[in-house]
Amino acid sequence: MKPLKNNVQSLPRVQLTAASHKPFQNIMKKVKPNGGKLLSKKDQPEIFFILTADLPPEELSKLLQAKKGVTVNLTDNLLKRLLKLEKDYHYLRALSLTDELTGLYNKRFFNKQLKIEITRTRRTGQPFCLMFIDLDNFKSVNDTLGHTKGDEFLVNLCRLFCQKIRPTDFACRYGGDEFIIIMPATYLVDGISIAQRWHDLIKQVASQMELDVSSSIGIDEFDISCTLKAEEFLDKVDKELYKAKNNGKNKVSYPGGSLHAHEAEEKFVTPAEKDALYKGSATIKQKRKQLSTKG
Amino acid sequence: MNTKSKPFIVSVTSGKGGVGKTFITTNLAATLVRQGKKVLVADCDLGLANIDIMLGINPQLNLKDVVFGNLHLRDVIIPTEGGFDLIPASSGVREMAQLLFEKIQIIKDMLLEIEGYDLILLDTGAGIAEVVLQFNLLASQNIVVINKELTSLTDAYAMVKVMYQVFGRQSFSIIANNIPNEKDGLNIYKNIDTISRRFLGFPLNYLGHVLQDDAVAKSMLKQEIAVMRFPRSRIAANFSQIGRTVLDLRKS
Repeated sequence: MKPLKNNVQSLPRVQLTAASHKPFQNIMKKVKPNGGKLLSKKDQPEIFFILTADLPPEELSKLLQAKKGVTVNLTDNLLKRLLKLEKDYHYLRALSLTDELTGLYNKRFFNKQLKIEITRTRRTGQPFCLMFIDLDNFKSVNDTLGHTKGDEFLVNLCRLFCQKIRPTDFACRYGGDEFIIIMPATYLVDGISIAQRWHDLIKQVASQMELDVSSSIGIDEFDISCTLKAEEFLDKVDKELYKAKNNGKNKVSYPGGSLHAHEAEEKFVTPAEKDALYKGSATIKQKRKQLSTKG
Repeated sequence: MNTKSKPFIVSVTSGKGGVGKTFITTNLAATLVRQGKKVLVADCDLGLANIDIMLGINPQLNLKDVVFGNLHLRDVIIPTEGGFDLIPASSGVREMAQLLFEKIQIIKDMLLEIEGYDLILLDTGAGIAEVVLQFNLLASQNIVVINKELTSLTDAYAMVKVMYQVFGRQSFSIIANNIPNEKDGLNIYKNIDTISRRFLGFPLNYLGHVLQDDAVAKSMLKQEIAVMRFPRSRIAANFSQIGRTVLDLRKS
């Protein structure tokens, strides 16, 4: 399978710094007093490029002095070469962050994104959910029907993942038959209902392929009061997954033992809903007052 | 299996504590008995059980002996003055409040095995704990008790929302408890019903109201069931009405 198109597009784009670029020329003046042009031995004009992703000037000048860049002769087909370089770069970048078989994000991307989401929650106060999916009985498919069939199932499953996933969520393949979904700006109660949907979806794909595969899912919410580090939070969700596994598999497990009414209200009733309830209650009070003054 | 012997399981829940779940459960059970039904009440408030206290009885065995001992739920059932049978829970046992998921499953399975009753009423604990949700899920009908306090309304709404979003439940019945007059009850119900229609997309069912009455406090002090002590009071009439509506729900 090709790497997913939207995965590639979401990566940061690389900037090319050309000799004609103003800030570049300024730096060049410092490095080489005669300006932006580098002259070759034969006095043939050449342009020196450095591929950067927003380097600070000090870094850039270091690179220039070390001549770590691409020197291009003007007689070359410059444009073609640059385009190829950029294409290669994106391809390699995508390759390094996606899973080869399924096209989902890989573990490397996940580890990075998890840290980003934790920082985001600390900054914005909006919680995010993490869902850990482990397929039940998947090993027996590989063992009895062969790895080709197993791979086919995974590819079908992940194709569906990509179709059904909310555009803001990230689906990652963590290991062989383990998947993780990051759901930014999501409350636990919404996360749980999404987890139930995924659970049903996986069953559906399995039954279409006439395989006896189900899924165990663990899910938890990271909210602003949470002080865990990325790895610790992942462990917590992992424990939730094992709870599902130990309770007979084929189910969604989430932390629920500690929710009390006031917390529940905070977590589950949105400000708009609360507002509406309060307003409704206020009109009742008004009516009561009117009745009592009339009486 | 004979479907006639399968009891109709109803849970009484609220979200907020102190709105009168246990009061509603015991009085509704006694009323249904008077209407000729065989009723079992299960005290599912595992952390702070209090039906036994309300009825002034001191059971030898309770739910704890089922969870940690080898007893079946059938073994701990005791008859009460109200004419209904009771599965008492234990109060103040810390481990009970946060039962393991599998233990809850065992209790749930046992409840489903019980036969010979027309109705089983589950008195759940307060809050939106996993235990409460699981018992609500087991019941085919959830009665949500509210009163005129705003917090009871928001907590009841939170309960409805969680049951809907997590388990897809869309049918809930409201009882307005301890309200000054009939109109108030209807208005409170209309308020939460409007919000549910608007934000969750389904209506709530109204079972009826229980008016404020001195009879309640009097019977509570004497550890008696209000509708038994004052069969001609306003609230006894309220409960008969609610009882009939519950039986109608069972038919449909």
